[in-house]
Amino acid sequence: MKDLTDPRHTAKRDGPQVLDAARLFRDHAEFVANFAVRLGVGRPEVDDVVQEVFLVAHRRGGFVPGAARPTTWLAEITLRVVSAGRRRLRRSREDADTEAVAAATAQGGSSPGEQAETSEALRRVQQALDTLEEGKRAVFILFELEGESCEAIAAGLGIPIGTVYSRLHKARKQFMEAHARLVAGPPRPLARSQTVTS
Amino acid sequence: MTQEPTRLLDDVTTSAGLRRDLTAAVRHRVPYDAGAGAARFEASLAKGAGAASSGWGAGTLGLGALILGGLIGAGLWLSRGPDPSPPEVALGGAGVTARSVQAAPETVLEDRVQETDRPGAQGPVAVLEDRSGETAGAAPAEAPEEVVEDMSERSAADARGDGKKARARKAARVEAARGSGDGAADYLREARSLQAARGFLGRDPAEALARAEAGAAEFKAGQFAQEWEGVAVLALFELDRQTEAERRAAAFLTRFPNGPYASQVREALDRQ
Repeated sequence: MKDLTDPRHTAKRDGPQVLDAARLFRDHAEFVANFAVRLGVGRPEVDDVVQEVFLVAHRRGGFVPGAARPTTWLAEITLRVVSAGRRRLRRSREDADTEAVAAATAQGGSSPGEQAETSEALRRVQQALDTLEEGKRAVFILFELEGESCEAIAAGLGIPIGTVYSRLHKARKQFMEAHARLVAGPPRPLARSQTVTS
Repeated sequence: MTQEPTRLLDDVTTSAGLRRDLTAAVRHRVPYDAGAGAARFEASLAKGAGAASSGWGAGTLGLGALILGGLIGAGLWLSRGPDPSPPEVALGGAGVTARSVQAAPETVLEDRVQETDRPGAQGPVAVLEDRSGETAGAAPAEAPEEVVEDMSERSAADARGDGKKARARKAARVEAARGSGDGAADYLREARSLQAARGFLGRDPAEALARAEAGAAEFKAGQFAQEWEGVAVLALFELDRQTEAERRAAAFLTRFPNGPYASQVREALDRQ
């Protein structure tokens, strides 16, 4: 468990302890990178997104502990940064899929067969995620893959908890349908964007 | 109160194939170089918060946002009444980071509304950029020194095989001399030193090792203990100091089995 009260990286103001951007970066840069990739950001852009997210966190004055967790709070910023960037750049989804698999393949410590299986699994998950609209996708990723609680997700994303349940329910249904299609269907080239909404 | 749903991974009614794929996705982490990212982040802050904005965020930092943000920031500042504390003096470099972090919240209390829909939400940028402008006079005085330092170190390292440790300690002291010494600045200075040390892997492992050990000593209470040790272990492998490398690699993997350098250290061990 991280010590959120470490005085080296907290700024005591009038109210609660605040985690500054540097501390947040140290603890959660990897989380933001992963979340961004799962939202469909290509590897070349990941660092730009991470930088942007923490600059926004910096501008907001850091994280004030509350109902949200640092991760869900950063997820909300990431979602906005990615959404805004996607609207402008309209980047190809091919990059995200191909690179997600390439990253998995590059991981050492397992046999080629295991690597291939992992790559296939990651490809299916990423493509199924790609079918989800961003809001649902964020909730699904945070709950199912990052293990966040619905309460923390609601607080982080600034939405009612009922909306989290609703989005999660719909996202699961859509994700499972897409995954089933991918499992049943013949192997196909990576990278088709299925639905890109913003 | 609604009960928390069961995760698909934990739900026995979920198909085995889906659970297997989700397990792979949960375990998979995108490798991200936090040290290099932190150094870039520091540089961005030192230049002004908008400097690192790429295409992913630059569109929201337009002129209109700047003007509106300035107005909002000024309004908030005026509505706050007189400030008893003296105005901050920006010193440039890492020191700016901590001060900017402290200063920003005053103007960034409410940007929960869609930033892209409300340009004024970017107000604090104007404030930060103004502050970065204040540092313009101080930063250049430091920059050439840094360049000369690096150049001299590099040429000396090429010329002689010894003396690396002494130079690395000197470099660490130069790094340590920068900034005000508060937590955030220490963290960012450490990240920058680490990035410099890591840069020597693959081309000058002796220098990488010397810098890693000097950095670990300099930042004993720092945030990158495992990264320093990871760089040192990899440098030892590159130097073919097998016994020491294997001993420290084993200790490293025991302490940090899932750290950012664990896979590289394992690979280095496997290659032996």
